[in-house]
Amino acid sequence: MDTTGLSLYVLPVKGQTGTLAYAVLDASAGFTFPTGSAANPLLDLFDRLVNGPAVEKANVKQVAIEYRDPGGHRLGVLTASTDVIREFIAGTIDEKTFSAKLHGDVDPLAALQAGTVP
Amino acid sequence: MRRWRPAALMLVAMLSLGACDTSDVQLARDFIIQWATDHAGEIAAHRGGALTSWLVEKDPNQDYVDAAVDGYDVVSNLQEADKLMAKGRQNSDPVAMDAALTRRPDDWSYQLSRADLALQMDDMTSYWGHRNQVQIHSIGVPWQQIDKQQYSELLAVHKRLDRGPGKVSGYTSYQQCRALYDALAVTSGNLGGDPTSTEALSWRKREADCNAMPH
Repeated sequence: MDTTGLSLYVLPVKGQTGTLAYAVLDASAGFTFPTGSAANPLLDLFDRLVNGPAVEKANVKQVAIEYRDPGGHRLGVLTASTDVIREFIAGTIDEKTFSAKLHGDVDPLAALQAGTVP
Repeated sequence: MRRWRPAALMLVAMLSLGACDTSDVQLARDFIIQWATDHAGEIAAHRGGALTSWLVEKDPNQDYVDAAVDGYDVVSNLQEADKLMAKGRQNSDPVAMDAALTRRPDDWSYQLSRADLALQMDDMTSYWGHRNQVQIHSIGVPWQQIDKQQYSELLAVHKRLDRGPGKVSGYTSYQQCRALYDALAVTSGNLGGDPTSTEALSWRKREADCNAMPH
């Protein structure tokens, strides 16, 4: 997988023993979604991140993906627990249910502007 | 039960706009926007802070969720600090390094780079101070990781200051000269698993050259 424009941070979480894996997908720094990914490239990345070698080692309990568009604007961050992601990968829950279990924050203005960036 | 406020409804209206194409970027964007539309109440509550936080149901992993949603500030700070430290390392710039350390004073790797730059600049008080900070903030870090960075940076310092075997004119003090060669000997010995290795002993030999300097 080409990791250009992808930064991954493992952050401690206050009051918890597990950690947070926080990925920044920065299209302005050259990030492109992996070729041959599934129908939903973002969900595919959750899958790839939770199966990465660092996740188990660092006791990652939550994965977050922040997306920055080609203009460098932060559209938002989506996050799910590793348990929920694994349920989705295993097919125990479908995309709609997974989406419902996601949390996050989205900048509506940046999301709108992103549509105008070629 | 969730209750919706005008802010949330406005968010839905704004996010419902937008065209589609088939690129992955557009697919990702569409997914984010759809998710935001479905979770407008949660977003509005988060953006409203404490006043509206009661609007949303708490996730069992709420500490992790909060850390993720607030992760932007943490990561932005980290990225800015990394940029400053990279600039400091590339240009031997203590001001940039100190600015990075202001943002991340507990980062042992930053402290080590700052120590090695201080050694290069013959600022020995600063060198030992930052070395102490490395020890304080590297508990639990594999020593090999620390020594690898240390050796790599010390080799770069040596390359800048060295004038060749038997020559010490590149150094501005005896303390600087001794500290550099001692650290090179120790780290190369550690990494090679033998403090009396040929490489470590060659650094010790160079350390002895420092005696030619006034002290």
